Amino acid sequence: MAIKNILSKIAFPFVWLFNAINNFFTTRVKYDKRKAIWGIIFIIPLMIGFVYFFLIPFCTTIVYSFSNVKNIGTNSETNQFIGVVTEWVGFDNYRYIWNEHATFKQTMLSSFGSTLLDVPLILIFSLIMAVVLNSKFRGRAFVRAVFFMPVIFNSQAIDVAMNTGEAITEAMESENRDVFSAVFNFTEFLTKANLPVQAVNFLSNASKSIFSIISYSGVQILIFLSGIQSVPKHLYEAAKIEGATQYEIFWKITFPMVSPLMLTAGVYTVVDSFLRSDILKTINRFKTAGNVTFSGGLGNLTNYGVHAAMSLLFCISSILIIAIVVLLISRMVFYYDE
Amino acid sequence: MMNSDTKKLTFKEKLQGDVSQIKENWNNPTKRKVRGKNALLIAGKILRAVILIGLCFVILLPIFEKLSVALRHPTDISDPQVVFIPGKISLTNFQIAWELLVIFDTNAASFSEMSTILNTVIVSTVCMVIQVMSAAVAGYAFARLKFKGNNIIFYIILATLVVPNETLHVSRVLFYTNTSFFGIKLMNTILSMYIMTIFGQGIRSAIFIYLFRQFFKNLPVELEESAQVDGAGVIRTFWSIMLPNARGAVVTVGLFSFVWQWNDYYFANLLKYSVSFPLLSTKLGGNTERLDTVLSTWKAAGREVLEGVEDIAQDPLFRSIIANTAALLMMLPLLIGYFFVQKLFVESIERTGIVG
Repeated sequence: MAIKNILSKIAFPFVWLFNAINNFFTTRVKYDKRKAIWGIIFIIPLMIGFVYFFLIPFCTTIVYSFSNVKNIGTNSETNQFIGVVTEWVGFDNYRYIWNEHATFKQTMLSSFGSTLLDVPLILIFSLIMAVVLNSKFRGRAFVRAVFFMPVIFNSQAIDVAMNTGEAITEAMESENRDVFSAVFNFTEFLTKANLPVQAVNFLSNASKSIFSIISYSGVQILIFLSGIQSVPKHLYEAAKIEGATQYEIFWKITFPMVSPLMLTAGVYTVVDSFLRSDILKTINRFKTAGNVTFSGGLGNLTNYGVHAAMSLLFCISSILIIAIVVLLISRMVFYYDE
Repeated sequence: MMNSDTKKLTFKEKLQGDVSQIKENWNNPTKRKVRGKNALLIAGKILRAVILIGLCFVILLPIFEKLSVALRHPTDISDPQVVFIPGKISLTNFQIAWELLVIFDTNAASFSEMSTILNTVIVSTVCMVIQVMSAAVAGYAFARLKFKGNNIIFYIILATLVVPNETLHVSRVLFYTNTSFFGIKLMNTILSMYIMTIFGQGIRSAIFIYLFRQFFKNLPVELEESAQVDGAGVIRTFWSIMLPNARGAVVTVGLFSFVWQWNDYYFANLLKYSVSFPLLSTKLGGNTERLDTVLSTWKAAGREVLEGVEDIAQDPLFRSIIANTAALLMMLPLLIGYFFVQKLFVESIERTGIVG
């Protein structure tokens, strides 16, 4: 009893504070304002994470892109950097990329083009596939599982494992064979089956390009699928009673209801396909080369500085593409409430 | 004679009757429409079946290739006679890959080093739960709890998506090694992955926040208003009304979060937690160095699976086939798991309790 008393006395200020805040919220503050306050509270952890895990490293990268980065040492135990010295060089890194690097500009342009081409292709394909996979037929569960497989197999770890080491890749290239062309060859199999050459070429090319489209649209298909499934059923029932055909139902109900997710899928497609493009390989070559100083026509530059500058150009151009895509798609978006 | 004549007649009559009936049916506008609709339906079904079978074939072919190669005995690798199914099915590749990935090792020094698959399941599950929660909270705030600067913050968060992780690698390593997050050292511990996920910087968190925001935005306002009229506070509205209705987003986000965490290689390398907490992906990524040790321990243990092929370990073809088998082994739990989960994915998303 006594302990309870003491506890309640200790707890009193806290309880009072909590009640006061609660009362303040429920009586004095309008619901809209309460919502705004909760909104800020909900965002706080995100903002802490954003500043600490993203903004600070990002600003450091910006500084690196304008400077000459020199390594001062690594921890002998963990083999990690402890510090670097930066020396301001202004726009020299960018000048090097723009004027002296052999392939950066062309690779950037071609990645830009291929990404813009990818977006409508993948969006249309994945929307159609989502509609098809949503309709009822025998073996639907199996087909859905199959369509998800490429998403599972799209792993960086697998890429790394399959390209095991530079030496092995070189050995394979010099012998001009790759595991699957050496051991198992679809084209060869078709040729052995006595098909004409044109048909073989067409089939193998088509299967390759279709496979790449499918493997990059798994996420989008699932986004659309979940969107379609959250469309209220009564809309479809009403349309059916009015005698609408499947075609009309798609254009008048499914498409507008799913259109907000079109934006999501579009942004995701841009990010994903830009991250896959050759440009990132060019950039990463500078990172993996280590801390090397090399002298261009502009004086001494280091790998990390050039890498940072390239990465920033990469980010700016992908934001540009996203802006284009969002502008184009947001004209079609329809929100149910409005 | 008579008999056959009448027969002929009746047959002719019958035929004529049939023909006229068919003609009538054919010209009947209602039946015509029904027929047309049915034909269209069947044609659609056939088209769908053809497309789906074709696409399934395209997807399954490379996986089947991988499986077919993996089931071959190492000595049969370059046998040109084998096309699809190897004559002598052998699990040697799988056994080597099993050792390589340290799926289950009873001689391990500590519990956390015993089984990579257990570790990966733990990390993926914990990160999935955290990520769904943090993304749902943030997405709800961006969609419905409007405050000043709400949209600007959202677009800034979205913009983080376009910054590739590799870009920040150098500065991240420097920053994480030299500082700590509120007293917690970030390097060499699995805790840092959880912390990053809690604070919304897990693997592609921004896309999950975006997904939740779009979903919450798409739910009717009436739902929220009725909860408000009934006296529910903000948290209560979120927890018992909005979140259950966003089940589609929850399942999608959970699934992708799990899969991406399972496949993650970048963060495991960045935070270096793989030393004390080995994962499938890091073992797979670093398989080149480990293969020699695995093979030498095999030889030391006297297992004569690779008898007579001393230099096979140096064959690049053999190495990449082992890598390929290990990749298959790593993906297998995901595939099996997906077959169970996808039922939930299909059926639980029906919206309940909403009348627009």
